[in-house]
Amino acid sequence: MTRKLESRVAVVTGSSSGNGRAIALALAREGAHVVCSDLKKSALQGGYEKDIETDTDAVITREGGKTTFIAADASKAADVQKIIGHAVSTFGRLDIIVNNAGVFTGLHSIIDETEEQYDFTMNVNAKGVWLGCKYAITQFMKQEPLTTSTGAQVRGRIVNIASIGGLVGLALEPAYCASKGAVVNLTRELALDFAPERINVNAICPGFLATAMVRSFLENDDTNKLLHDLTPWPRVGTADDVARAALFLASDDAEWMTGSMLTVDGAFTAR
Amino acid sequence: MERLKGKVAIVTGASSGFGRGIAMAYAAEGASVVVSDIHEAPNQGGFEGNPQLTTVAAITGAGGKAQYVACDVTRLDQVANLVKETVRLYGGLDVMVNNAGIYRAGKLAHEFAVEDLDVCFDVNVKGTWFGCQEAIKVFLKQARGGNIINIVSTAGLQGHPKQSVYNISKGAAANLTRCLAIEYGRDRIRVNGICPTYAKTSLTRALFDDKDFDKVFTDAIPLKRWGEVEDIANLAVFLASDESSYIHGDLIRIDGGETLCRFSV
Repeated sequence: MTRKLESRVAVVTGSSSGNGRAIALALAREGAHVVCSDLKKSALQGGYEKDIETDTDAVITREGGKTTFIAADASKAADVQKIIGHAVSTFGRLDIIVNNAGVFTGLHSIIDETEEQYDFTMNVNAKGVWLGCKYAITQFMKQEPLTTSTGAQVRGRIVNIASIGGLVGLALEPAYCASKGAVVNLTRELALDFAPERINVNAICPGFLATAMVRSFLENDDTNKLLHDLTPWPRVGTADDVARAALFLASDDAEWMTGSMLTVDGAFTAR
Repeated sequence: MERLKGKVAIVTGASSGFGRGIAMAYAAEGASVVVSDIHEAPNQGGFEGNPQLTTVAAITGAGGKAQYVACDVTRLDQVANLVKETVRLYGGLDVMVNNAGIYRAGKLAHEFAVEDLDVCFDVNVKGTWFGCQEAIKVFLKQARGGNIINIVSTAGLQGHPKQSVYNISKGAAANLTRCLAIEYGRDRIRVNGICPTYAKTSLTRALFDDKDFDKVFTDAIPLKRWGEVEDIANLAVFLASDESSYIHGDLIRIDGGETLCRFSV
């Protein structure tokens, strides 16, 4: 059976843990050569990964995939340029970027949120995605488009990991919601600018998922009950739910989708 | 090619266009498909590669499994029969695609006749409502979850001029999708909507052939092409498969970016 992303070159930021890790593994299993990137190579402790002691690139290699890791801070222009350069020098081109790296500094009202928390959140979640798009698109524009299995031409695909916090307000997460709202509308804007170049730009808006970022909510009886009560689907999400959606958007199946938000939230925001 | 292996799906409005493309894609992925429409012959003037074949003939010719059951979705007794026949033929139901729809356009709101309003609501709202109701009854009885995919439209998410009767009916279908997602999530019945803009089917043939319209429309689509039935079918396969298992209550735009720049006919 032909794999969906055979030999396509993909960058995944924030790939050591959670959604990023699941996305990197899912893309690799469909034949993509994955450039893993994160601040650190090892997974955050406190996550829900089955083999948390094994690094993402090691899992891919063990499964027979091609991969490389580069340490980088997604909020720094020089680092993001380094990631793209590393992808091109290692695998020859760039076809896909999944801008996944993100941070959450905890629940607090804007009265208590510090300027440092705001800057940190915006730098990683909003500026980081902007940088990832900027340098990926710069590379896409230097390359010849690929001809897909359906005969269509595609120059590149971008999947931004936003959040339902970019679509609706989530209580006590002011900077986080603002940063994710920025990702949502950046996605729409870039889709417009680069559709003529056949660069698809879409975003995924995950709801509450079992990852290290959300563990404190899940382990607190009150917030755990609240999350379950507010989610119509009878479970919270997992990183694999997001990974399968990212795979779809990165594949030729989604060629006519651009500027779309794919909500992966068990109907949390349908209310 | 077995992403829907073992699943049983109903597709309404499946003789032509989106419904036909979805039915064929489902069968190619291993599903048993009940093809349903008010007449079995495809609409002429569409973009089907083999318009002389019925959808069932096209599917079985390619080695897939399908049966035709006639159904007018505006009639509750016929929709109930469609679901009953599906269970009799294939032993159950896993995926219900409420695709049958009708389009009315070209008049300002005060010019539309009440018949235009009624026909849009009968097919696009009541037809979808009946399809959801009857499918949900079976899903609850089977007690193994279920999957509903409503073919809405970008017209269900925003305003367009000179098609108010159509847009408000699609708006109703969009919000029905959300309501059902909330009510039946606990029963593991997934409910989502697909929101395409104009794509190449017999319904849009006249627009496609109109050189002036084609130019204005294509220029307004950021991806610079009309949608193909296959684009919508790809998304419908993804939503019917377990790959989308946590996507629930979503209304997914598939429009080449059209709604980003608010194209208006």
